[in-house]
Amino acid sequence: MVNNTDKARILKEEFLEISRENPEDCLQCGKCSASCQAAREMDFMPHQLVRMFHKNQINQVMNTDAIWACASCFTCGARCPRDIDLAKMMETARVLYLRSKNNNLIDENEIAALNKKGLPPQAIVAGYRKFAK
Amino acid sequence: MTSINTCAKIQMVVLCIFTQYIAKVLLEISALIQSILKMEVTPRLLGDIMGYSFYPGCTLKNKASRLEISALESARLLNKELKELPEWQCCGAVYPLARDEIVTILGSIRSLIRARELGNKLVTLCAACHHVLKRSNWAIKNKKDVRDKTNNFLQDESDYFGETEVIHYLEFLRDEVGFDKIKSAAQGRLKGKRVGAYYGCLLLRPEKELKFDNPEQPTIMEDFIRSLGGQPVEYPFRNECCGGYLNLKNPESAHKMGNRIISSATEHSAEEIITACPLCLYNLNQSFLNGNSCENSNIKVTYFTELLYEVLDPTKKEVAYG
Repeated sequence: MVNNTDKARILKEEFLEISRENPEDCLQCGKCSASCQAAREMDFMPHQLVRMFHKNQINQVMNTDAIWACASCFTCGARCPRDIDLAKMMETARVLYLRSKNNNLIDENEIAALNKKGLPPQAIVAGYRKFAK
Repeated sequence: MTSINTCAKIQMVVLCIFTQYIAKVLLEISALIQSILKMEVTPRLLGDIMGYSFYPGCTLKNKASRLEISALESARLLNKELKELPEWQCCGAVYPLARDEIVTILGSIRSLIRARELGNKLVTLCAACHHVLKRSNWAIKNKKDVRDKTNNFLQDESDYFGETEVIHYLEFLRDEVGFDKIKSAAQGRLKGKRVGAYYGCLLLRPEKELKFDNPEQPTIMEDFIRSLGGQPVEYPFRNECCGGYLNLKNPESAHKMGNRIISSATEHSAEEIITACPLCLYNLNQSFLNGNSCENSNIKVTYFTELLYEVLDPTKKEVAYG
């Protein structure tokens, strides 16, 4: 029987393997949150998410709206005094969610409408890489 | 008789030596041809002779044909030839940030291998393609696990170690053509027009891998505007995110982010914004069309190559697209 602590530990190992970033390096200075253009759309601030990663609360992060508000612009990583690439942590939370739920957030039937709306193919391909696995 | 025999013998010996010499030369020539075919000669050396391969990507063949046409026409006017890379594959639009995703970079690597075969520098134009190709190349060069896994996947290709040099069209203008040459060709035709450069994210960050410019205080696009005779407008949001692919799932969020950029540029009285990214252009145009918070609405967003082409060929008011 695998208990919840073990589950969290296994998830943390998986997180470290995929992201190759160490949340323990974080100073909680908040530069990432101050720099983030999407932070206003987030339910948790980027630096809070790093703290949650640190405390093995990966599952909680996977269920935030914040990870889907991130546009992978890499500003957080560029300004981090501890050289943490937060974009990689966010991506890891997204892929762990998509892989575990096996539930894509974008439907292939939407392509025609998105294309008609005028979105460049670049955006549609990017969306399918980010919101589906 | 003896003298004739000796003469014949000498002739024979001379002929033998001569044949051996010819055979040796032929062998050396064939070895040289083989080494060229195997690309053992450094790509850089051949690149100087052979020129540039051009990677268009999906968007330039579709909704952003203006970007491709104006760039290729401008290069022609500057006496440089950009040859489209044969059999290029989709870059995937976003660089896979999860370390265990290898399959998603294989398309980029195949394109990089095609460029290596030609020994050319690979010139990119779309900011997203540049980001993905450059980072994939960097990962192959610097991360052993990525390199080994990729080469294991690509059994039908010869091993790749990151030999291809990827440069963006802006770097091509600066380093291969030279801004001074553009300056003399442009003859100050922009007449001090106030142009704001919008860099976005994908060309600048992460600095370690892209080595494009300073991510906080970039100058390359300002230098480019200056070379055309324009006045660059340095506004604070020129390197902030436009929302990117968020427009797919959450257009409101992307519009808010786009509005902040447009407002920042107009507050610093830019007359035109130039960008290298089709998605940035779309997002900025969208926020301009829908955003009520955007005070000044007569600002134009274009590709930097359109501005270049307009200046280099003033007889054409507009590029004849597609």
